[in-house]
Amino acid sequence: MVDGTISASVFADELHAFVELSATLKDTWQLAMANDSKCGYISKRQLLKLDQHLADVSSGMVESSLEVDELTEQEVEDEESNTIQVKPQTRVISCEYHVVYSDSYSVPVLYFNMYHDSGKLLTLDEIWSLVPQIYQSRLSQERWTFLTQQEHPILGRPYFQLHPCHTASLMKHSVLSRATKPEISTDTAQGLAGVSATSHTPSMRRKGSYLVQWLSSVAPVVRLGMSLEYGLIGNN
Amino acid sequence: MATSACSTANLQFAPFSSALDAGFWHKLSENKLDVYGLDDKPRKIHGFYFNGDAVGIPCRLNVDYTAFNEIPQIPPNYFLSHGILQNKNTIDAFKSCDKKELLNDIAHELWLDITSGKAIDDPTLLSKFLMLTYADLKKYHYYYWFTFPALCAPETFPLTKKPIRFSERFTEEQTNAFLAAYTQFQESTRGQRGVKTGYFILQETQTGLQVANLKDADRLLSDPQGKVLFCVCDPSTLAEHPGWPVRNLLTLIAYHWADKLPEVEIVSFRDRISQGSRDISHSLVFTVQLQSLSNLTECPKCVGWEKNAKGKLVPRMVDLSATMDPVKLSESSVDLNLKLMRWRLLPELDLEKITRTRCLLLGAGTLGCNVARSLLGWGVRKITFVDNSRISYSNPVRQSLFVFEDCLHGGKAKAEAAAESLRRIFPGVDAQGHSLTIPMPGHPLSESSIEQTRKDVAVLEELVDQHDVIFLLMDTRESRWLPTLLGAAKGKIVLNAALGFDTFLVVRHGVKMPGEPMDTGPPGEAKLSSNVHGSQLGCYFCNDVVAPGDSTRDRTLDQQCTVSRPGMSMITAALAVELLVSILQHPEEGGAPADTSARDEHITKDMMSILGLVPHQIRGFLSRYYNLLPASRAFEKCTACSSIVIEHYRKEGFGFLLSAFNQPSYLEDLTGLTQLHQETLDSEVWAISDDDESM
Repeated sequence: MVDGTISASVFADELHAFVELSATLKDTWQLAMANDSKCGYISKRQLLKLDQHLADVSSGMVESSLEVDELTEQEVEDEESNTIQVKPQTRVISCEYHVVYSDSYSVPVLYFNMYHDSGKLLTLDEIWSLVPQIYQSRLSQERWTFLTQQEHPILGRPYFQLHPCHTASLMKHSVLSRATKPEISTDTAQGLAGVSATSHTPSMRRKGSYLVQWLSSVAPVVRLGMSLEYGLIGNN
Repeated sequence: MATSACSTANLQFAPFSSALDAGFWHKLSENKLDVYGLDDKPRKIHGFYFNGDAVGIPCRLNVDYTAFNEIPQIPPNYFLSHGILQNKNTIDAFKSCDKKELLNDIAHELWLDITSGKAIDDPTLLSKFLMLTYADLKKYHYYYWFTFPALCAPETFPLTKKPIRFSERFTEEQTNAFLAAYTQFQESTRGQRGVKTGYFILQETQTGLQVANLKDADRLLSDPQGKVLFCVCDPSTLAEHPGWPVRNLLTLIAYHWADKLPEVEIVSFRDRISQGSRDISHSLVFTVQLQSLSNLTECPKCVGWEKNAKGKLVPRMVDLSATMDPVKLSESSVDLNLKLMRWRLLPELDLEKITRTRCLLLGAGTLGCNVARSLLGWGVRKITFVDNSRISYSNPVRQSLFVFEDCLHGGKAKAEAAAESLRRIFPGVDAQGHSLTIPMPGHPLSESSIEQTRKDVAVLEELVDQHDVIFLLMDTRESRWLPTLLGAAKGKIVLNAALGFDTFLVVRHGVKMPGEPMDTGPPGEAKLSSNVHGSQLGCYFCNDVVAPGDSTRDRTLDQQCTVSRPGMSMITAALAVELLVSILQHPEEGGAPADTSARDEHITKDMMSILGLVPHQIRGFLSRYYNLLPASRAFEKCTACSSIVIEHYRKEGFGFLLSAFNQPSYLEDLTGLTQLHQETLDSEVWAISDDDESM
């Protein structure tokens, strides 16, 4: 823990605690147990409206919906006055976020996919274009978060991933910086055995707060909505 | 909220729009291959919708990878829709199937559920959809068309009042009472399937608000103490229009209860959570005048085909090859893996340049196989082999692209087999093989073979033109002469790898720009400056004072690569490819300067690529696990790359080459090596006599 990593069993506890927290806040994180994996994962769906601002960013994101006019031989008459004529709609992107444990890095990993209503996944370039401007510049300098496409370790389908290789160092700083604040709760959590009792003893944290800290720091990069309440509750 | 008089006249509904996920298409493909086969009978699937979307989001009917589950797996707060999947086997069947009949069938089912009262017991039956699909699993193109059946009865839904918000209709106290009752209702009615009910009754009495099932309608409607409101969990976020699920409920009410309810209040229930708090105040209450349908016996007209993005009533198609075609997936994974290197370590690494570099590999033996594999690793996409031999039983253990079967029946041709093997390893590669004999100087051609040789040379010339990099990976020294000359004449990057028993050489030839005279540097300066520009570097033959002749006659062991230590070819091939990548990443490419000493203190910034030094030669000594990085200048009398040779080749073409092939001393005479030999002999004699004198 002191190096920013967590064990699989701590991760599993974190997941449960986080999902409970999510329920309290009426958020929609769900726990999914994997058949052969010890700790399962949590997932959340979210819609992203491509408003004017984002539509600009993703103007190149036109779905390849081939001309299919010739696909029907039979005229279908379906017009009637009880249906409103739907205007060219706001483009909606469906997002699916998964938090999965990485055995090799001993940290949580954020997997996600974004797709059009046809089921077509956004490409890596399109995903990058959705990264908010403030992070774009930061990401070009700091390499701790970058996006890649990987096979989902449990579902076996391609997902985008915020690469976990710098998560530990991020969480190390985060955990330690919090540990210097006196108001941290002092329940003894697992994973800290062997940490010498210095003034920096991160004597700890409420369960779930590791995930809250980590997720809230990476969520904005991929437009994952996270209520501020998570932080408030975590600190109480 | 501008409510025009016109829009209050009749209630109009917002149609569903379909929302799929990639997982659905994965699962459909899987089922088509493993379960359905050619059986195209209708299959039950599930979809779900939500009544808590933010304003501006269209009404979505979601169908995802859980659609095929036996027991519906609906996300919390979503509502079930019963689907039928009609997957056609051919595009023609998809096109020609009777859309009217499809819709009619599902309309009849819906009508039966309504008239029989089945939909009162299980109101989820009011929400149905049909999905017509055709999956082109070769191209990963999916054609689909949704219909969300809605019965057109009554014909219109006249509003007797303007729609009002829930918060206008009910007090805060009532709202809270309702929410408590609703929550309890959902918990108690969830049933075995764990599915929430999207349709229910709200009874308003003096004492409060109660929530009940549709099947309690008769009882509640006859209760004079309370007023009955029908509630629908509404996916619409529009201020004046409810969503599709309201329609069939109105038909149900009109059929069963309109006699008692000339006017009905419909609650379009919208249940939103934002920033951790629940909000239903934007739910709407519509008051609709309902014409009774109790005498209707025929199934009414039904509508529901989804329009495409342009508003036309036609099917849609989605191309998912980028995420589902394994070939494309392997290509993007390979690219991503390489990009990781750029993202993590070398932001300036120009991978695209490497990817688009076209490589010609002369020799598909042990070096050729291993060079090709390393090139694949770097993402090179165009690899062409030239070889004239067949695979023999001793080859596969060292020649990493071949297997035992390749040796049978006389053995496959190496060049083609190597290309085929590369495509098997990575289908994204453009690999070709040419069985071709490269003619060699000092190997005289018979009259009958001249025409074939002329053709072979033409093919080789064309291949050199079509590639950016030429790898010389043959097993004889003299077969490297022609491609060295061609590479020099055409300004290509030439990488030459040669093996001894436990020594090897990798050398990049000096890159001359086509048309420019060869730059051998100022005479006599070679010793003074150790830094040699890429255009002044020598080729494989520059250090030789004999023209390449027939080395197969008196071959020493160290010229036969087949008796080199087995690991050598991997080391050498890898170094040749890495040297190429260093060249490509140097701003001057082939012009990258090299240092004759390779001492640290001699290294200047202009020698470095982002990957480090770009040496001229790597000479390895496996017995000491030691490499040297010498550099040497081009030799003005070189038999392969000197100006005079290139000029003659340019002027005389095949005629010049023919002279070189047929006349053993032709090249030495031409370049002045013969004269040099004579001078050397003279000086030796002089030196010896000098020694003699000193004795």
